[in-house]
Amino acid sequence: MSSLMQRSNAGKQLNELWADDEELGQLLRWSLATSIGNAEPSPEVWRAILERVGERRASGSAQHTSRRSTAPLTALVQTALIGCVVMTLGLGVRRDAIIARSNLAASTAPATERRIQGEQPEERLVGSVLSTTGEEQPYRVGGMIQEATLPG
Amino acid sequence: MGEDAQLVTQIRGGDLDAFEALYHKYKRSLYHTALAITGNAGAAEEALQDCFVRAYAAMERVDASHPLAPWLHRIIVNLSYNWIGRTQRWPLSLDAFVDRLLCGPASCPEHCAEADELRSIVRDAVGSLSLKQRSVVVLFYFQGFTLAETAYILDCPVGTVKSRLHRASQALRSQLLEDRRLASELAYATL
Repeated sequence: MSSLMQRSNAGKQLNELWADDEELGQLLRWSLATSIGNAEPSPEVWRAILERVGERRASGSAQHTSRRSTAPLTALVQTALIGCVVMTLGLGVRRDAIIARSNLAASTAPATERRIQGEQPEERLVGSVLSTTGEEQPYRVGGMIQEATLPG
Repeated sequence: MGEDAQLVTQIRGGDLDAFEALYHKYKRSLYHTALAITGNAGAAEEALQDCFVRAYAAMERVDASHPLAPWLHRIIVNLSYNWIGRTQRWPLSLDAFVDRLLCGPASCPEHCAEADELRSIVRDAVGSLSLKQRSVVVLFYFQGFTLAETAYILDCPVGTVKSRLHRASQALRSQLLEDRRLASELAYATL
């Protein structure tokens, strides 16, 4: 019974003690500061940092140098490529203009006449083009398409 | 120009002595933060090393008009989280490390036993917190960062920091109240 009362009293005191956040903060600060406040990183850490930073600086300066040495070449290649593109575009535009003009000149005749140039108008009208191709055409007998060999 | 800004300017100019000065200025607080979060001395040293290598690489981009402590702590907290995620090791307690530290040649005399006991109780209570609550407690109470700085370091809103602190305080209080060692010591003291 007495131990229960003691515990209850202790609980009340702790509640009062840490009701304020600042009190709790002080306890935490004290606890952590006295626990790990004296801990120090080993000197190896700085040596390792210095080594890694040195490597980084060395690789950085090497990259910088190589970038500088290749810079004129890159610029030259870029200029040449741009020149090629511009020339191609320029020629393409001129060729289009010429082709357009020649097309314009050629298209003065009606489209139907242009499609079968070299044939005589009377041949087209009588359908002699089909007969002069030499190919045998299928014909229909009783709803079925027969081979081109004519009977007889 | 502040001390940090001056160091940053010198480091940008290739001055490694300035970089060393920056390291010695912040190494302890950064190491303590990593140690309190990970609970592992090796992990804390690894995080400290990575932190300064990254800081050096990012020196051109850092805003030198502000103190560097929050920025460096942001890096080391992230690295500590990475270590925990990588090793899948939950930082339960600092006891193993602290015992080694306290039981060295300069271990405390017998009259420090009570203080040791209380320290151990509080450490256990802090160790029982979640990782996020623990980080907030370490940064706010131990390192003394403001709410805004803690929010910046943890990359979350100030309101989140406040709620985490509140929950952490509640958890710590209940943990401390439930600890039989502390209750019995206090009861003994009141007799």
